[in-house]
Amino acid sequence: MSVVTELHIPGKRQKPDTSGIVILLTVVMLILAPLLLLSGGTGWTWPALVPDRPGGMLWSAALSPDNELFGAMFTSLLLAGVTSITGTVSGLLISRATAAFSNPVPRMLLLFPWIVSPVVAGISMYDQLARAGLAGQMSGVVLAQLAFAAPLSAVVFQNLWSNRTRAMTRLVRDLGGSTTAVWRHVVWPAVRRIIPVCLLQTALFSWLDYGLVSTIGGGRVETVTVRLFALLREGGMNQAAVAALILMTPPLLLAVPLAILRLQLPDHVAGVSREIS
Amino acid sequence: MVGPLEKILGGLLLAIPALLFLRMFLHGLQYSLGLKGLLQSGWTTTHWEAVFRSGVLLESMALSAVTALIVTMLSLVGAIVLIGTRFCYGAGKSLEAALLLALSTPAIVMAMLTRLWLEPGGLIARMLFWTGGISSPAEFPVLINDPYSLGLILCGVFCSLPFLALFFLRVWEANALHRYVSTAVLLGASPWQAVWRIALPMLWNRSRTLLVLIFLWNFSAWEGPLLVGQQSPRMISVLIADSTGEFSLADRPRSFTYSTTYFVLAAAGLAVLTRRGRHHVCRD
Amino acid sequence: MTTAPDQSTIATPDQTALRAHSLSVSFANVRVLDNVSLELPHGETLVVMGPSGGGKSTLLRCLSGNQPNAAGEVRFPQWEDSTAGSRKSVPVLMMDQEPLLFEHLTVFENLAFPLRMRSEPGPKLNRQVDEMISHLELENVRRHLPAQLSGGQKQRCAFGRALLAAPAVLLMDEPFNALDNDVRTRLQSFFRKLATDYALSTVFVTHDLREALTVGTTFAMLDRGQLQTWPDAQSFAADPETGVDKEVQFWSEFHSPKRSY
Repeated sequence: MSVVTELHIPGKRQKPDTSGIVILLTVVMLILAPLLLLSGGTGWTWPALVPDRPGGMLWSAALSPDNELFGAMFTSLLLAGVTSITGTVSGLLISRATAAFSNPVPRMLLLFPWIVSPVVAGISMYDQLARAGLAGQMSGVVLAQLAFAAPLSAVVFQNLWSNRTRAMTRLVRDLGGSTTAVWRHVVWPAVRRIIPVCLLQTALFSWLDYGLVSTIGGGRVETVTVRLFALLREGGMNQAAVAALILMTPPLLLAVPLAILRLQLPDHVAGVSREIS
Repeated sequence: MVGPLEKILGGLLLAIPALLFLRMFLHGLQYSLGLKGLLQSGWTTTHWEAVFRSGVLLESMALSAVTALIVTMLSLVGAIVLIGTRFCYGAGKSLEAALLLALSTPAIVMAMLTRLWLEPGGLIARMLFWTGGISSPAEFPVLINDPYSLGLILCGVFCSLPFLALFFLRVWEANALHRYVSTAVLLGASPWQAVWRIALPMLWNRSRTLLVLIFLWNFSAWEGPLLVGQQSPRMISVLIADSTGEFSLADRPRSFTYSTTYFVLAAAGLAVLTRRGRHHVCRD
Repeated sequence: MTTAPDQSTIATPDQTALRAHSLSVSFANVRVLDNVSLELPHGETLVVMGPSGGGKSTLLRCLSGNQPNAAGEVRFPQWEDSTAGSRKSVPVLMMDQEPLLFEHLTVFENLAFPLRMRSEPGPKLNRQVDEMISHLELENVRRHLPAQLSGGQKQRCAFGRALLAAPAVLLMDEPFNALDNDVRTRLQSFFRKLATDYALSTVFVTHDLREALTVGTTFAMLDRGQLQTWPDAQSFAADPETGVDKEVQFWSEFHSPKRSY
């Protein structure tokens, strides 16, 4: 087809995504390559580029049940599970309650945990939790994480309570429906797709948290992040690389399918502009 | 729209974190004013006077603000450059895959990687050794825990830039900005003119709230400053954590003075954020 | 069936604004455009009508060069002859229901945009934009941002901007569809006047018969991939396939004193 002009950005003739591939390879080299390299052996004396003693010993050690990192993984998973479920449910209820207030202040306050440093919050909360016998306990860490996770998920749910939802709720009530009917016919259809997103988000928050677990946990609640920091302080770079890759696994498990999905989408769906020449 | 039971239940659940934060703030404030603590003897402003006279807190706040500003600006420039490669050189879906990979790297790992690459015994130093650039780690420039926070800034940029760039890409798609850019090109603009005069101002309008958030995140950062930041002055989160870790009851009021000041700043940041957010909603 | 163009509409090459030849597009084995050819003389408004899903928007995208998997050729003879080596105008510009005004620029700056891109000198630019603002009746809102304008004002501004870009051909895809009847009627008359004043060459897609007869000078119907053309309103109205006579009959019966409803 011969046309004199085109509607998408002309610029240079479109190349087959070379610059994107270059950027992707650069990111992989900068992030994954050093971690995989270091975790693939022990020792890393100057000026070697690869570990002194290559092998998978660190990985087999990390995955053995009596290893501290293995235990830390389970602690992290448990914390993430509990925090995500309680955080998501609380967030849903909190968002419903704050939507009922015409005053925007409660909704604004939900944003506070987004900007405050977890480690400073943990330090400041420590005395209260210690007095309640929760400092150094997993329950104390869960409570502290919940103080962040619940508002986090409430903000996500907030966008659902639109004029349309209000109108649907009014309709159900006008038709004689109770609160149960409202939840069944209005709330649940609105939230069911968001709930997995919220669960994942709050779980990731807990999984990656270091500030709260290190301050409230007081060294007795050992998660992957706590272990990673300890290894970095001890100078165990190889083990730290293993811990870092384990720490990155859940976010990668989410990001990689998303990335593959985007790579497979046709260009016009993925939003890539094309030229006609 | 919301039943009374839901209001009560939701309100109670909101009260838990709200009360926790409030008590946390009040506890710190009372401690800093001498109203709490084993060695305290009642109302006093001496701790506040001592903190602000020593200049440590002010230096820390200034360092945190300047570092956060530099990181935010560099991330913005970087995100704009990436958008430019996307649309002027055809960088497509691989770019998004790269950004997702970078985004899935937590701050603590990014800080660790910054050390791995940039410290005197790190990967770049070793590569330079093998290519004859240096003969020992001592010859490698100090980029970690340095007085200019170079390593920290780089770490912050690598954490923030993917987030901002992905946000720009999503905004671009959601608002069909390519249509506006296409229209500008049809009206006679060159591709770069269209991106510079049309796309960027539209992206800027939509990203100001996020930029404030990124600034606040970097202001409050801990893992990066702890691993790769400078030792003196320290970023505010590190200063507060370090002062609390010192085993001296007499020093506790000082650390609570630090944390109370921090919370006041965070509340001010929230006020700016929510005001910016409302502005954006009103404009739409 | 594609009607060969009426001999009276075949323009000498330098008076033809648009010439499209053998345009074909298929989606999933459905032939949306089947070997469609058309010519648009300079200063004419070709109205293209047809049923929903008949390919009207696809035709416009082909003419603008924005339709993937299209076959055929589109040329702009008059533009090609007149602009060799210069960038004083663009060959084609498309307008649809979305005005696509630049949200951060005022009405004045939106109108001035194409002139600035052509590096028009300041006094000339200001004069041209002021004239256009006057034509568009947007004097009271010249410093307003698009968010502060009504739907009709936005479309007028978008139209004025398109005029100042001086395209060889303007493609309009149901541009007034989203507006209410009063505003729509005003804009139709407005378009007709400016199209005459500026000798615009336009391909205008609509499904509204009244709009077609108000804005059009030549007419076409696109149905099942085939294009049928009429050189003027009279021949278009006279053809029973266009539905004009049915419309007239409806309104006659509606006003008849004998009607039972």
